[in-house]
Amino acid sequence: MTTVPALSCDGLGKRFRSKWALRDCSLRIPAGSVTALVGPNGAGKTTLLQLAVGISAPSAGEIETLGWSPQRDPLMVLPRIGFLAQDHPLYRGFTLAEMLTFGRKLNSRWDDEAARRRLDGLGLALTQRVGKLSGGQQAQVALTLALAKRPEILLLDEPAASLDPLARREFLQGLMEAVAEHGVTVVLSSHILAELERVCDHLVILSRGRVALAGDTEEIVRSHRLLTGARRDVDEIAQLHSVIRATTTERQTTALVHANGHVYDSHWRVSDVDLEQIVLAYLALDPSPSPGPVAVR
Amino acid sequence: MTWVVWRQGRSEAILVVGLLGALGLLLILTGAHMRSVFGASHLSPCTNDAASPPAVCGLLVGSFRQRFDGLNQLGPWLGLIPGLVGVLMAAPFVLELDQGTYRLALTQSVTPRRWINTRIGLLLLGAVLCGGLMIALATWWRHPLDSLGGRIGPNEFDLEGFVPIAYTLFAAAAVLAVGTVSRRTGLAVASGFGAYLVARLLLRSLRQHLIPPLHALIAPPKGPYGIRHAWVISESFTDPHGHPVPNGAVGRCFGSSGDLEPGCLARHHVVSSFVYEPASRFWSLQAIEAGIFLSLAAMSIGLAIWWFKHRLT
Repeated sequence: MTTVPALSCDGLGKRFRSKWALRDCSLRIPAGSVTALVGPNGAGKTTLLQLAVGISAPSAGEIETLGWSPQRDPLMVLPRIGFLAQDHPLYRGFTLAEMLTFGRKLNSRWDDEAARRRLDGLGLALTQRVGKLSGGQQAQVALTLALAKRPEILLLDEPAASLDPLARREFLQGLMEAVAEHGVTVVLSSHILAELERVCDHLVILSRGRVALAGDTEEIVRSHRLLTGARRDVDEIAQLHSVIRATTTERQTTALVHANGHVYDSHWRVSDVDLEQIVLAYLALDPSPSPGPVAVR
Repeated sequence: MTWVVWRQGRSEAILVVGLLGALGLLLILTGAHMRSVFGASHLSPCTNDAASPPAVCGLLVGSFRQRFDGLNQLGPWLGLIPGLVGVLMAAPFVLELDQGTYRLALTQSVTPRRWINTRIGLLLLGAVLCGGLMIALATWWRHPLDSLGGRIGPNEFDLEGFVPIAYTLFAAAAVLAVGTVSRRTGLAVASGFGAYLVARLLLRSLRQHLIPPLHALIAPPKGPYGIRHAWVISESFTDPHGHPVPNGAVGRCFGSSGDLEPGCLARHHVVSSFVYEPASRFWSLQAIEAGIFLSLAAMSIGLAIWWFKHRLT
């Protein structure tokens, strides 16, 4: 049995004038996963998410959200997605009740009851104006609107970037509760990894418009090894495993490798690495020769 | 979706209603006054429809027009209102792009095509309704003045007929085009209104060339009856062949009362030379001018939609 991936793209590219914001992007994000889209600012995270929801059209390649092209079949995609754009835009002059009316008027499947309950749970009154709320509250309102669509996939662009640490934690907690309750697929972008590690089971690293690494987080951690040894050349080890980063000091060489099976080499001391170290190594990588594994399994 | 467009443009809509309400109040009060004076001045035999107005009309019409000259001169100022209305009506659309809320609106269950078509459709409908209301108000208001002096002159031509609708649409479309490309509300509103002023002033000065004006030589004692209610572009003294007369020739004919004496002018072969657009061209000129503004509006809206489809999404 084949299940339709929540998000899939093939040779996807987006060009703004002469500059490619996203290039040769091919990946599959399985349904039911919580995927972090990681990369520095300008890596193409926003571009990828906007392509996924159809507010941007690809310059090259294909993208499918829930099995449909957001550009060609918007009505097969839009009602089934929830999207939180960067800075979670809302109509500042609207009251919360009017924001709910907005959602009700523009969506055929809309759970007003659940949205009211969620706002109530956040301690927000429907008569309050959006512009008067704090940044954290606005993010929560935006999430409430996205969830009220009863989405099959929720895409969030830097949802926590503008929030203070407490609001950020509350936001992610609210998000995870919703995921647990509805089993919705989540793709969220961030340039801060630490907090995502706890909530995500899949990871896509974007760097300068290209996919540097994509996969199941546990598998990623399992397949990467840190090798330390006396100062030496890494060419030999590079024949078997792909070297992501190698640093050499006067006496010692350290290499982070994407291991092809087990590393048997008595010259190296082999140790585990954590996800953050791996991400940092990939972000430091020059992505110009298209790197290897991109299919998330 | 209509509710969303309405709710989002509510502040601007209130401003437009306020503006049109103030205009309506001003025009209805002064118009009612003008009508009561008109009725009391025995001017009905002097209107456009009268085949041969009695001689006293010259004096009656002159004094009525002089009395309401201030209101007559309001014309060019009232001409700013279609621009303001158009700009205000288009502003919410630009604000949506400027503040990024279009990313929220376009990820609900409404396709981008339906979203922009509904927004622009409602905007155009609103502009046509407001333009129509302005025309109805101004035409009613100016009726006493127009019935005596025609309505092709520069103080009234652009308040009546159907050009105000075209002006309103043009102002809205200009804001839409600049706003979609720049996504800056301030810039769009300022340059949209600027474009409106430039286009209006340009057309005002070009209007007399849209259809080449007529020339008429009329001997003074008869007066310009043949060109009653026309838009007189220029009037000068010439000889019967249309050539200019020496300066002194006219000066000699001032009588003791300070008025020119028709007999004296006739003796010296001086006639009045008129360059004018006849009243009968009102609708042709309206059609040409409205056509120009509507084409510009259509091009701007086309640009906005193209940009929205190809650059923004």
